[in-house]
Amino acid sequence: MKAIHRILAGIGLVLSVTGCDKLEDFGDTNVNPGAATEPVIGGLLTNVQANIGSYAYDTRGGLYAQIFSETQYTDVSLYGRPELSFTGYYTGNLYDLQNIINTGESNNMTQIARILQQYIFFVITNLWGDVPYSQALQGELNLRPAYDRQEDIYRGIFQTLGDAVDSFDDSPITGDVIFGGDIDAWRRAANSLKLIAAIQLSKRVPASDGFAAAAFREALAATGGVITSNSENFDVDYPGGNFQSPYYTRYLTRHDYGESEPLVELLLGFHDNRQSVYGSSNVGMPYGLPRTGANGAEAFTSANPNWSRIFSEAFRPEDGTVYIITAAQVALARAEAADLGWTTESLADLYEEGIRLSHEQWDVELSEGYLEQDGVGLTAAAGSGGNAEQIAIQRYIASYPDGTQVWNIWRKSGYPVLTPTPHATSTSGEIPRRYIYATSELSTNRESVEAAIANLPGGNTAEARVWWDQE
Amino acid sequence: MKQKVLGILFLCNVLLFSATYAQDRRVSGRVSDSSGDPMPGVTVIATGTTTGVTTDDNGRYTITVPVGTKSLTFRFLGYTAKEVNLGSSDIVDAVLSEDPTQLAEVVVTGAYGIKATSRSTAYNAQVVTQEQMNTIRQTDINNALAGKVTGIQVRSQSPAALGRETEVRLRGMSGFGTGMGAIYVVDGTILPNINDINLDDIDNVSVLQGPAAAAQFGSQGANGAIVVTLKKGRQTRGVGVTVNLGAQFDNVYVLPAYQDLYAGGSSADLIQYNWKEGDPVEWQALDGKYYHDMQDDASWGPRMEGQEYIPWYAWYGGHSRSFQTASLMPQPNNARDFFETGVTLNNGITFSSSTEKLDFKTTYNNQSVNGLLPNSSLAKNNLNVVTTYRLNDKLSLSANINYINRELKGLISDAYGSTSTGSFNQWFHRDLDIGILKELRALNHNGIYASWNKRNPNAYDPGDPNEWYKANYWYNPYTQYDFSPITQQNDRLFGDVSFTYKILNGLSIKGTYRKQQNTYAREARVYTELENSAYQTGVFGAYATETDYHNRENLEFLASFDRTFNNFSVNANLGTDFFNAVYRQNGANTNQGLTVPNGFFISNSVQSPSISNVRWTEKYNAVFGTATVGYKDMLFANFTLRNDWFSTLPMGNNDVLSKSFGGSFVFSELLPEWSWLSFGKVRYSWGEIPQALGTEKGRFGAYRYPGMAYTIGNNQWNGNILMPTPDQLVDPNIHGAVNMQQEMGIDLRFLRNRLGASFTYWNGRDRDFPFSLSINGASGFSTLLTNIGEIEKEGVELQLTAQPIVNPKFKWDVNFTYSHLIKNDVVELSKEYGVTRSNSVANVAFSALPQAYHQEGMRAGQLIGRGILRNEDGVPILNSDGSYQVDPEVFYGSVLPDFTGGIQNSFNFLNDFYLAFNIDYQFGGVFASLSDGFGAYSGLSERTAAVNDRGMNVRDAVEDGGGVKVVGVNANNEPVEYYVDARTHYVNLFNNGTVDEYIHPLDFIKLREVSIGYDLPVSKWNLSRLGIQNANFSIVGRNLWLIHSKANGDYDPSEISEFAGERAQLPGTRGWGFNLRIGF
Repeated sequence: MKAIHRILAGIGLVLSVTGCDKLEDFGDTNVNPGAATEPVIGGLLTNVQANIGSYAYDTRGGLYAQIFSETQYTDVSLYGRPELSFTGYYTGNLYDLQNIINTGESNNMTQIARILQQYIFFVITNLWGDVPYSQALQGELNLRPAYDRQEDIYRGIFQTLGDAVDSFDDSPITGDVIFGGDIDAWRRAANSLKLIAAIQLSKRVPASDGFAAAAFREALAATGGVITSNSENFDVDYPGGNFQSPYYTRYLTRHDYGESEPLVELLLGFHDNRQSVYGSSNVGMPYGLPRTGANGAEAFTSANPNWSRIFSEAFRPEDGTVYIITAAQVALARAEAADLGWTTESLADLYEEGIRLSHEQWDVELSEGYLEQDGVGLTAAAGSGGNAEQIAIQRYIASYPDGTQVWNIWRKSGYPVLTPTPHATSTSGEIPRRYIYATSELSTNRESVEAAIANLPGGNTAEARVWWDQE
Repeated sequence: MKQKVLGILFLCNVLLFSATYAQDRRVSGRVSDSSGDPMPGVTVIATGTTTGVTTDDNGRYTITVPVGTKSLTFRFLGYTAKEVNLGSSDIVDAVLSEDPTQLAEVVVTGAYGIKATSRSTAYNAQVVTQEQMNTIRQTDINNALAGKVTGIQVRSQSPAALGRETEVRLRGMSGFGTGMGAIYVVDGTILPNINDINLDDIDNVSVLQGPAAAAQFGSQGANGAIVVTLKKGRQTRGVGVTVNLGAQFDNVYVLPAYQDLYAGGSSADLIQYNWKEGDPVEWQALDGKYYHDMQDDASWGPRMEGQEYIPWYAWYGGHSRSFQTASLMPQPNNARDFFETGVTLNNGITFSSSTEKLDFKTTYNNQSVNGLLPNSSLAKNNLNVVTTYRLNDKLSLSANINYINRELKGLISDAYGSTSTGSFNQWFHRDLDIGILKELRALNHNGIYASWNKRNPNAYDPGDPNEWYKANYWYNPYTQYDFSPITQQNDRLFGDVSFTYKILNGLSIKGTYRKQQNTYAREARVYTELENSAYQTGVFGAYATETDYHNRENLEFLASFDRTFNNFSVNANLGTDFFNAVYRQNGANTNQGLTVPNGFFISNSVQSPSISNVRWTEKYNAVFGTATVGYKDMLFANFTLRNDWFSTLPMGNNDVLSKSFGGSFVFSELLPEWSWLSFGKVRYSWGEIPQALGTEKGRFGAYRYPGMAYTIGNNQWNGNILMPTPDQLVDPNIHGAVNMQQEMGIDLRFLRNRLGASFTYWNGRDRDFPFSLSINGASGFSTLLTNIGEIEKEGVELQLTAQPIVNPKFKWDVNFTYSHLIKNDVVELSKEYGVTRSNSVANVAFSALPQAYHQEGMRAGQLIGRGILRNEDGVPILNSDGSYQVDPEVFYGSVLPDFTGGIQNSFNFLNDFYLAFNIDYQFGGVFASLSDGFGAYSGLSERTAAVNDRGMNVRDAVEDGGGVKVVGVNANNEPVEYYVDARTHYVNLFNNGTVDEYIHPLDFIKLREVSIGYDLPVSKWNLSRLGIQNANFSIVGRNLWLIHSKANGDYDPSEISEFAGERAQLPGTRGWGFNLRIGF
């Protein structure tokens, strides 16, 4: 029996040494040694800024607006169904910025985050139309945010940008690789974004006493002013090496996109020296070809190995710059506002200034007689809206290679006049005018997306028009 | 919580204290069978008393018998009982021989080496012996189990995928992702994977299905356990040495059917080459000749009729075929001939001994495999030492040590775009001569390696004369294999050391330390030659290295009590288990090329190298108790309670209680008058296992809770760090899934065991899976880790055994298994979040093909995606151009089969000759084939050049009678038929997602194993003078015949590479070989 007691004592010992409290206590075993538990707001901001240039070099819009052509897989330029999810914008950059705001660590960081958020919302709403805005980015508090009407999103963008510009103080800014913490530069960027956004509404809200025109004038008059020189451009300077310009990486391993033939023709027709920068040759890639066959894209590239790449090689270094909002774009938008009678600024001066700034941006001379030639020269008085075509075309050219912005300009103005590819695979054969809500929205936010679709004349199709595109 | 533990303690105390007897003489010994193998679980009784014990793993026992005991009786069901008189010696060994009139008892092994007799188990206890399992000396244990036990689905892999782990599902799918599979337990040590075990070393395998049988393992056993018992030291007549020699040869068997009429490229006509100024001068020899499009890697080229053409290699100088034309001929076997003969050498030697003090066995085994893919090989050395040393009759020390060293070489991939099948089945040309590709693997132009896929000669740019020679999408496959070597090494040590102290009759304590350590090193090189030869392949010179250290340790204490009293037998265990696992990984790879060409070191990276550093630690503490009480060897009751505390669960709520109970009743004991009924037993058991948060086998989910871990990007932007916000929210109340199962069954034997049947019905419910639920990203997060879902399962299992012929000169044994997975249905996804379908859990890379989801109200693992829109009668609705209208949501069925099983036949002639053949089958379930999708898209597969019902090739012009016939109804539901240009048709199928014909049933019947053996007449041939005691020679075949498949014979459905289907599955193979076993 002694033995029994011994063994029981043994088991008892094991259990008492460990004990139940001991059994459940693992100390810090489950603390992840490979990660931090709190964010570093400067790191969040840099992370966003390292990605944000991609929005200003999106090929899809550029393929619809015909500044680019596909060289082998031609699905997008044949108008394959653009059913795309927008959620990556929210879970990625938008929430990183929201996280900066939520920490409340630095007022100035919060204002920068709000400005960048408005830029991203501007991009998203132009692509899809109504999207979540006022209820978005609330984490577990709202897992199914309602969609806001595009008009309300625009009003929110105007309001928030104006508010941010007036809210800067002397709190610290870290991780700002775009402006290095220069508050004035952020104010100019915010005001310029507001101005570009406001002019986008001129088709839907054309009146000079409308809210769009009012927002435009607010932006011009706001603290800090707008971008007026190329040294003030809102852009991302890539350091190269580990962070390479997307213009450079485009041709690193693939050769999928070229400068389109219609753009080359447009530029050559104007003797526009920017063509020497925008493409690598004057052999524009024909637009919207089928992939294969005798007249296919592959046959063309074989027969023309020097087809024009996007940018000449000198202008796509790995440490290049991606432009988000430029002085030229701002000047031309101001010219358009003057043409519409939204402002009383000098139409002719701003128009010429815009074209000159764009040439300066790309380091080329204005060709002789450029401003006076047909299709460029202004033909109507300021305030009449009669110069819409010339201004739209110049904005279109100056916005290269920002595919989304170029598509915005074309959708709003109808200029330049574009011919859809005859090889379209879509039923309508028309150039798409928006992205289609992804079916994943149906499984995660059905009521909201169905309400948004109900508001779309034409339903959830690529041919339906977003609010500002509707006549 | 304390109460639960105390409850277990109390129960065991009762059992322990009841064991009070007078003791006198202590006798010990060993029980073995006629071949010298130790017999565990034998009842040893002091004759004429009620005192009894059972033998341990080594067949050893120690018993204290009352004064006056004259003899010991040894009993084991199925063996003739034996009574041995007690002489003066206190050591009594016994050899038991089989009683052919009785059903041999089977010993089932559970957690911590705890054994139970199959008579007493309350669940479907299936044990596969070495002879049944190792019929042909497979090198993969899962393949060796296929069809041999019920409830198992073996998911084999192509032997060309050298070193790839196979998987099993026990009773359907477990978990809520793609499933976790059963754990493997080798001599008590739980292994996350089993692929290194030497099958020759295995004594038997117990398959424990579901929570009722596996509650003793706690969380890890929730999906069942495959428990392997290795052979122990044995007594032999000779010197105790066994040599196993074997060789096996595998060749490609199952490949998709290709078309062999049309050449490569996009142009249906040959293209004339016209030399022009600036082109290479040598090309003048080809002026005016024709080539087919080389730039497009599809096969919609001209018809191959032996006409003159310029082949891809003719454009290159420096070889015997430079600048010459050839005849355009199909190469029907080009893909097949690419694969080499796989050669497996499998040789081992075992030393075995059992003496009074020492049981000892050691095996050294070497496997050397030359793979079917070029430059692929596997070399494995396996050393196993099993020993027990008895210091005295109370205390013994044991050590089980396994050391495995393994080196796997080769670029082994069947992902989309992979060289070999990713090319041959999806993007390739049918006119390519594989012999010439092989011969010209080193052909290059100024260091740019030649490829069959490059831009056409009109793209030659004299301003950039090298550019044209670069590979467009593909290299010569041989060149790619030569310049992309990968080496993976494992050093693995596992096993345990333990001491056992026998306190008194049937009561012992055991302390065990277990360890399993794996060190893994991987190196991958891509030579700069490939980068220099790249036009659009995207390949850079590269070097990647990774080192992993993984160590799992258990410290276990176990008190066991095993006694018989009068009519009662008691087997009880009480134990604790403290577990600790650490993982440390460091890896690095170069980015965007190598600064010094072919300098394979990390600092040679063009961009900053990427580094990875992964660490985790997981722990659990467990207290458990099990007990089985038997009455008259007829009624049994058993239960298990186990409480685990996990480091990975939220503190304060980190313990879970696993439990099971069951009973069995051997009713045939009451029916001795039914002489035709040899044995009859009914059983019932129930079990429930709550789990931790692991997403893979052997893991408990470190750091999933509390989540929100911020990492920092590899590189700094001008000194600024980059930090993204995690995209997953974690429910603060997260807990593990809970698996419950119950089963009832009946086991019957008839006609003196000539016929046997075992039937089991089971059902169960798995719920509360910790799942990364997709939430709307506009919230700022893409997923929420929370508990959702409930799966209902139900199935039946039937095993039939028969000995149709038992004759001294001819014996025939049959074993048949059948399992029906009636239900594996998603009852609920998440009512709380209003979700009825999970996010996609698996896909085959392209969204044109359906993806796997869990859909409420349907079987788990449902393939859902676009497909053909059909009317009420299932007839396709066609557009006016003959294309199918698209249904955005087609339910193609589940990836889980309905029926699995097999039949094993073994014959014995004249005692010396053996023949065994094992067939297994599977019905129900579907898989998606990406190879089908692209094989048709690119004009490679046979269907793209078939003959239509008008007798014309589908590629012929529709107006000439060609085209693919498409039958359906129009928008007004009126029958219509169209003939559609073949290329348009198949490109549309893929682009529109009308891919119905690329989804195939998983059905198969397969002759997996055949063995013909002969016991050499050792004495007749006088081999014993060489010391040979016995010798056996066998010729074996594996995967000899895919008897039935509904996948057009293009794929082996038993080897589907992924959960949802295949992306570019490596081919099925057929092999044969021979084995020689000699005992000295």
